[in-house]
Amino acid sequence: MQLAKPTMPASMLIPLLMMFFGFTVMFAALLLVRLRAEILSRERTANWIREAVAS
Amino acid sequence: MAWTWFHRLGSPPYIYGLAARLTPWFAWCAALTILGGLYGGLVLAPADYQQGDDFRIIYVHAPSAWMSLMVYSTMAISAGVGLIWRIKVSHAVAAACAPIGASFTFVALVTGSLWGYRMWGTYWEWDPRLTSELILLFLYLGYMGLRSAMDDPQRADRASAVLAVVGIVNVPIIHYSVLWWNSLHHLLCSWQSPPCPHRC
Repeated sequence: MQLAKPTMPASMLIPLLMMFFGFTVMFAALLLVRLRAEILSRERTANWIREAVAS
Repeated sequence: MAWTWFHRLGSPPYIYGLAARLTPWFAWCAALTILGGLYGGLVLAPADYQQGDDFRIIYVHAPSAWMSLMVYSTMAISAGVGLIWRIKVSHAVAAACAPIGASFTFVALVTGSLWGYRMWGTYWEWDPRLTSELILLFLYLGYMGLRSAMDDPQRADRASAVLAVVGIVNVPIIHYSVLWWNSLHHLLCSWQSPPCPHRC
């Protein structure tokens, strides 16, 4: 996908690239948080959960 | 360290601990980059010569639209891996993706609608890009609805994974929609200044 013409000035383009990177990393952080919640609810009967929550 | 190290990636306790340890690193990195990007985009960058300050919505709109596709691909791939190799953690990753992806899609649609109103004078047009992005939102919501409608987690995993994998055909359609159809979107974009994201 051509997101911007090469003529887009660097002062506009650099913040945009930072936002792309930032959103991608934010997704990774949100995914890790949600994944833990998902695992907790799936494995709620498992022994290791009690140990993990207690620690 | 044997070659079997990756077997641990299928183990819920290992992944749970790994996720807990990695979360703050990703969260801080994201917060700093997004704050820097917003400052650069909303304060430092000059106003566009045609769109004035209106173009600045690109700093939220374009990354959100990109993430809506990225998250869907992640969801479909992990759902597919879960289907093929029957890895529970993989299904958990797919399930965790859906609400995040739906949120990014919603933000992309709303910011795009606001931008469209300023540039084209309409909040909504049944344009191929907009329509296929709306279908993406319905795919996410359908995936979440299907999961919550099934009581047996294993059946919910498999049924929703099939939906996620089939739905991935929509991702290239969204991506190439502005090229495949000579839409209003495309034509109106063509006279616009560089910050227009849709293949100007």
